[in-house]
Amino acid sequence: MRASLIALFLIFTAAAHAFEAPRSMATGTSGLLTRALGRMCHGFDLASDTLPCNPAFIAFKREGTLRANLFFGNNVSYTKEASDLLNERADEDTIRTLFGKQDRSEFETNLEAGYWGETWGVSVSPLRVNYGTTFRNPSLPEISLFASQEESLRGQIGTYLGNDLFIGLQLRALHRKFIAKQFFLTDALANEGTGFFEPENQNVLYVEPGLLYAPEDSDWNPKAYMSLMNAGIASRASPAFPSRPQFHLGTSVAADIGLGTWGLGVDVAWDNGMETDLEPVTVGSYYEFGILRLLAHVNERSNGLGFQVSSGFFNLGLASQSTTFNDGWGEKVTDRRLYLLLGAEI
Amino acid sequence: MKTIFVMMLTLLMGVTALGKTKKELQATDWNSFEAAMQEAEREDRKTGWSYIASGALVTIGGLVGASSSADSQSKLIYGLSQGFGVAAIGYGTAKLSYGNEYNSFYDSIQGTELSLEQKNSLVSLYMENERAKREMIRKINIATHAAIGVLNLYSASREPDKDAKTALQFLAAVNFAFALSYTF
Repeated sequence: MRASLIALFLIFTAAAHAFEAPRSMATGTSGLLTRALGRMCHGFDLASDTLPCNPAFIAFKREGTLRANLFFGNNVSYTKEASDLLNERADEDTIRTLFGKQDRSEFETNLEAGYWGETWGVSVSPLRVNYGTTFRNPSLPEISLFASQEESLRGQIGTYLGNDLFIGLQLRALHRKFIAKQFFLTDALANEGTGFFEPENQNVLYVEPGLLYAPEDSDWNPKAYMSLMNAGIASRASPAFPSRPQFHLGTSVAADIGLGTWGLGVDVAWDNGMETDLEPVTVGSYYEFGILRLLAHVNERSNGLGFQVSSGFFNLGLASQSTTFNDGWGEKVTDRRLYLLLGAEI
Repeated sequence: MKTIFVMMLTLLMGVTALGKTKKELQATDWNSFEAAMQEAEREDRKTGWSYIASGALVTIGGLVGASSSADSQSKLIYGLSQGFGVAAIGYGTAKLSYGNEYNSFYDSIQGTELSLEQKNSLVSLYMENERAKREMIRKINIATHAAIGVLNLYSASREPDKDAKTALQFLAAVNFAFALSYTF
């Protein structure tokens, strides 16, 4: 009797509440560089994703390049179910497919095309899907669910200021549809998915500047940079996406060694959530020669390793990243995921 | 998702098949052409060896990765990588053996006893013909990508599945953007 009362209490009172989205899903864009290099992608002038992480690099004079990338994690088969959930098409089958295994899962998918030109660039992403779940209490499964679908448009412009200084600015407009919820599996099944998951909508305009110092008279090509990411104005505030502008300060070097180029850098980042889940210092490195680029990064909560193979038009890559994040109940969880990239470039 | 994946692969194969315009050598006379070719030959040797080394690493890595991976998407990436690796070894070998597209002309002129004036005249005529050829290739690429974009839009207009329609519209936009890029 007592156990039944406790169970009923849990069901009717603990129901659902919102929580903050995992940081990797709430910030920036999805791409091979951001997974393999982590925050160190702000310090290298690497042509991989459609536009540079640090908009100051757009100010470098270069030949215009058009890119189209499909980036996805290895649980991509659940994208349809996640999309059904976000677009209020979920039914009992959707619930069972997504949550039936009661196993922590996470994936993301990003489709993006962009033009990276001389001092300006633009990219469009008609589809970026992020999804993550954690479970607890197998006897009465409670689920922490985060799912989002974004469409975004980015524009970057940069210029040379003189004295080896470059400045850039990124404007990023996105529309986000998301669900951030904690609930009991029994509640979701009882509702057969109908009306239980009500996605929220949010429009955000980000203004993200970058500054770069890159003296040209050294074989080691040293660089020092500052950038500000995720500084934006949202159409409505949401606890799942709190305002968290993230400052970056870093330095890097890159030199011709052997048959290729080796780069090494350090990035220091901070925002107003750093005391809980952001490690400030990231060290990243890459080596590229011929058709191959090897990438890696490490900090206390995350590490990643990846490679990219490029034929000139067609490129593909694979990255493995381990991250420690909040499971929604205040517990830290460490996960390693695999991400893949297929891209075209002209 | 599977539809989007297949369409992206189709786009990528199509882009590859169309070919990319190679880097144009800048020269107006024999002396500047010879200097540019000597610099290009140094680059070709470095490029050749780097492609052979990276191609070998990618091929071996792809074989090991494909056999040890249980995930189908990863197996696809590793499998494709193997092909890239072997192609890179071939390309690197060709680079070391034959250099770039201008080497045949350069080697032919170098082996003659023509006067400097005659060599200058030949270089000037050759570069003019090369520019005309590149311009024709550029126009063909514009027309081809634009035609693919129109076809994608037509297919999207007749597609009932929303995800497939979105993917086709995206492919159309990408192809139109490719066509536009060739106008710069």
